Amino acid sequence: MLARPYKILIVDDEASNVDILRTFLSRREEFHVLTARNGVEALEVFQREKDVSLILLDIMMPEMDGWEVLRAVRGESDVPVIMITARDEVSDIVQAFTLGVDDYINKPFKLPEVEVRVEAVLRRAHRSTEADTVLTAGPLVVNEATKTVELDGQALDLSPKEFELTRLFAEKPGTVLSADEIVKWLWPNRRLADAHDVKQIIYLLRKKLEPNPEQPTLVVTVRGFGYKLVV
Amino acid sequence: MTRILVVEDDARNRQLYRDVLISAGYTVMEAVDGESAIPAWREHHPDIILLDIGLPGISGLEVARQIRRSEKHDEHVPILAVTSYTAGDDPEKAFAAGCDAYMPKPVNLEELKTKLEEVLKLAR
Repeated sequence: MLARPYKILIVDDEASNVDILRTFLSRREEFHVLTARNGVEALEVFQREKDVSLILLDIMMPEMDGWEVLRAVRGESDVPVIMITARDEVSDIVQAFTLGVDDYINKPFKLPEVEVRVEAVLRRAHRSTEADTVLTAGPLVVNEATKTVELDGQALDLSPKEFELTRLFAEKPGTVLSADEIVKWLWPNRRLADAHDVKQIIYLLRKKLEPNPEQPTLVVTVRGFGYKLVV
Repeated sequence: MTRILVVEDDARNRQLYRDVLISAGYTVMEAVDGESAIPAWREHHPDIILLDIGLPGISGLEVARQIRRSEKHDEHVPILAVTSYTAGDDPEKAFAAGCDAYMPKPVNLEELKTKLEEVLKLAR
């Protein structure tokens, strides 16, 4: 689901927390992890990098605390922010959301929980920016706002999964997508989905896209590797 | 809202442009290559086009030429070309093809917003 590389900025004065989070999140290819040990450093990294995708932010830090960092960041950006903090008073949580955080995690944190919350926040942010786009790829026009696809000007009647798959292909025409990549995109939380499910949905999609589904010319099989959109 | 057509073959770059342009208030339309750019321009009537010159297949220069040839007498969609020095793109060729301005890669996203505003102002 999370295809692009995302820059995750971890801000915490406890070196052990930074190391654990960095090691854990860095194992994901799509996450490029940056770190800062205090608020001042965090703002420097944030301004220098320009395209930080998400900030994991501690509150209690020397030099400049998490509240100040959050105010400064929100003054110039809507970048997703997740607070990770030992402070679990309701007043802190309320303040955090009032200042514009996207999620809140209490210490001691559990790494799998951090991972799914990071994914969820990124997915929401990602979708909100895609919501208004219209993508043209050869004969296909994919409209995110209306969740519709046109082929040579004709509207197609696609299921939600068929729409998502068409969008994935249209994003990367000519690029071979493996069955595994397609599973991750279409069923991010479904561990049992496999290449058979992919074959099935490719079959259904071809029936709607191809003049002759038996001899596809748009969504073609690349034997041994996967599928690609030819436009 | 200002409607912008982004013509860029790299999905990561499209995502970066999309994020920054939508947050800057643009309505974003996208085309993944030169072949898709012309029908997208005809279909969506954008206020401005951000055009990568180094497209596979029909190049950005050819896209600009085709748009200029197809425009009616009183039409002129501003085109901001994105050029790559390392790929040997020549900004003069971009102007000759009909582009209104250019930005070299790597594109600074803050400068991009400023440049787009400048180009739009000149076109109005």
